[in-house]
Amino acid sequence: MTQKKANAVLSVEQVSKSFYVEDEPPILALSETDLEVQKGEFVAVIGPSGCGKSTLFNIIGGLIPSDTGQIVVEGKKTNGPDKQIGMVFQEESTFAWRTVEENIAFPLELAGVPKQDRIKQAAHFADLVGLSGFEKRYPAELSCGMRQRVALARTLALEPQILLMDEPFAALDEQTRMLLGEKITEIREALDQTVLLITHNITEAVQLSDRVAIMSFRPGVIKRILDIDLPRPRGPETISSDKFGHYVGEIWADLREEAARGLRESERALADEH
Amino acid sequence: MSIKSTGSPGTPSRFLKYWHRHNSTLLGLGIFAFLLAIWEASISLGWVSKFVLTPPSGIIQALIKLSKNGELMDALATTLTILGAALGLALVIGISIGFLLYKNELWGKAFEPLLGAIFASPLPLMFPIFLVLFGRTFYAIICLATIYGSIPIIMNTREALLSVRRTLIWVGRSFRLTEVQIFWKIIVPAAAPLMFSGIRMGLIYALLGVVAFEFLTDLGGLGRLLSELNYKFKIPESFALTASTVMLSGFVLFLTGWIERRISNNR
Ligand SMILES: Nc1ncnc2c1ncn2[C@@H]1O[C@H](COP(=O)(O)OP(=O)(O)OP(=O)(O)O)[C@@H](O)[C@H]1O
Ligand SMILES: [Mg+2]
Repeated sequence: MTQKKANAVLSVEQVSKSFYVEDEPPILALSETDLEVQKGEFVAVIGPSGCGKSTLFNIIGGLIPSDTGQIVVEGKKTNGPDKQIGMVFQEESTFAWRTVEENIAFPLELAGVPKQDRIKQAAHFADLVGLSGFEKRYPAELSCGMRQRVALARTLALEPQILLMDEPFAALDEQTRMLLGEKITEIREALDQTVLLITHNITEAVQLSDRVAIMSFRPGVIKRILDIDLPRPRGPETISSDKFGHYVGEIWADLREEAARGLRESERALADEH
Repeated sequence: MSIKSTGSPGTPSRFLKYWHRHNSTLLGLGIFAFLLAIWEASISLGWVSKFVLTPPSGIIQALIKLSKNGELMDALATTLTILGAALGLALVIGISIGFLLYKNELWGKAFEPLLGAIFASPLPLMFPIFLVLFGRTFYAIICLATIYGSIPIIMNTREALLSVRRTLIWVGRSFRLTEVQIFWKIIVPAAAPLMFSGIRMGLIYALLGVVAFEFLTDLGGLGRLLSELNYKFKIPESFALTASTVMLSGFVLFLTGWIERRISNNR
């Protein structure tokens, strides 16, 4: 079913992954998953908790090996972390011992960019994510959302073609999340990036994406891909439109089943323990 | 910061601010001064004989006397030299072994309870072993203090390196750093505060070991001087020496505490 399009910049081909935990049946986190992302596209992968989203993210990023299948970036099979891919993690990932500026400049420093230049670059990316004026602060002095933006700016500093994000806004309140979503869309346009966003938030997926891939729960596999045909930029009018609501409803209808199954299974697992 | 205080904005609020920032320190100093005053008073009022308990004023006089004839400085220099040697060795040994036990999970797990047991065992139990091994020499003292200092450094180094979150390491991988770069640029700075608190503990333990073993072996340093003064029933001088040893460890604690706060600042 992998009909190759000429300009797919990232493709996930038949990727499976199982986890083996002692004394328990293996967990099939991903089962022969396929996904293609076109150049410049914004794709969201949505699914219930524990369905294998982070596993997919880590495999695409080359951090964990898959059992079967492959990741292809610009026609080339990857082997470990790829230069074109930048990752923003689900968990807190800023460096507590570095200031905002030093955090953002980190990849530049290791790439051997001279100090003057990387400070200037860091200031630019700090500005891009709305953190101007906080360059000299340490992460502990910032809010959760600001720290997540530091991590984003640090990843952006190397100007990756493909931006992979694993629930970067999960810990944030709704308003901040929506504003940051707008920011991400602006940045993507400014940097001409391809974005793959992992999320469990339906509104966020519809607000930001060109396409939404819906994942099923155990085995994790992409169940359906929905095109989001809404004009950009997607301001408050778009978000309150009927069409937006219709997309949200449609995704929820699909996810509901999966989420309910996930809940049932975790309840059963709990019952088995007792 | 444009919050206005309701009171008058002059001295009182500045005093209050100072109090709030340093209240625990000030309270501690206050209690200390109070205890000294009671101590002094109990002797000058005749509640306690001054042959049993030297008053603080007498301790200060004895301290001046001991400093003047050079005995104190000589003893201090000896103790600090031994401590320095032991600390240097403990750092090298402690960090290397801690690193190896971090790298090798099996050995790390195997050694952890063993180290904990040594760490928790009373120090004097070790003295005879070192005396037998090295004789009544300074090497015995250095060796004992090195071992005592190394143990918390080993344990904390391993613990600190292990406690670095996987996500931080993955950030390095995603930037395609080499494992060596990840170690030096991510793991070490992330582990630094916990590692340093091990070093701090090691230093305190080494100091304890040095002074106690000096006391026992009668070789030199603050410990030996104390044992000599005790032996000669020079009570005020004994008190003065104890006080200076306490001040020394207080200073060591303060200094390392300051460094520790600098390292883990903003976390
Ligand atoms: N290292 C691992 N060892 C064992 N099981 C794992 C491991 N990593 C993930 N799993 C299991 O694989 C499944 C998928 O995990 P994953 O982290 O990909 O979920 P997720 O969709 O990202 O969930 P969330 O939305 O909560 O972040 C889960 O059931 C999890 O328990
Ligand atoms: Mg996840």
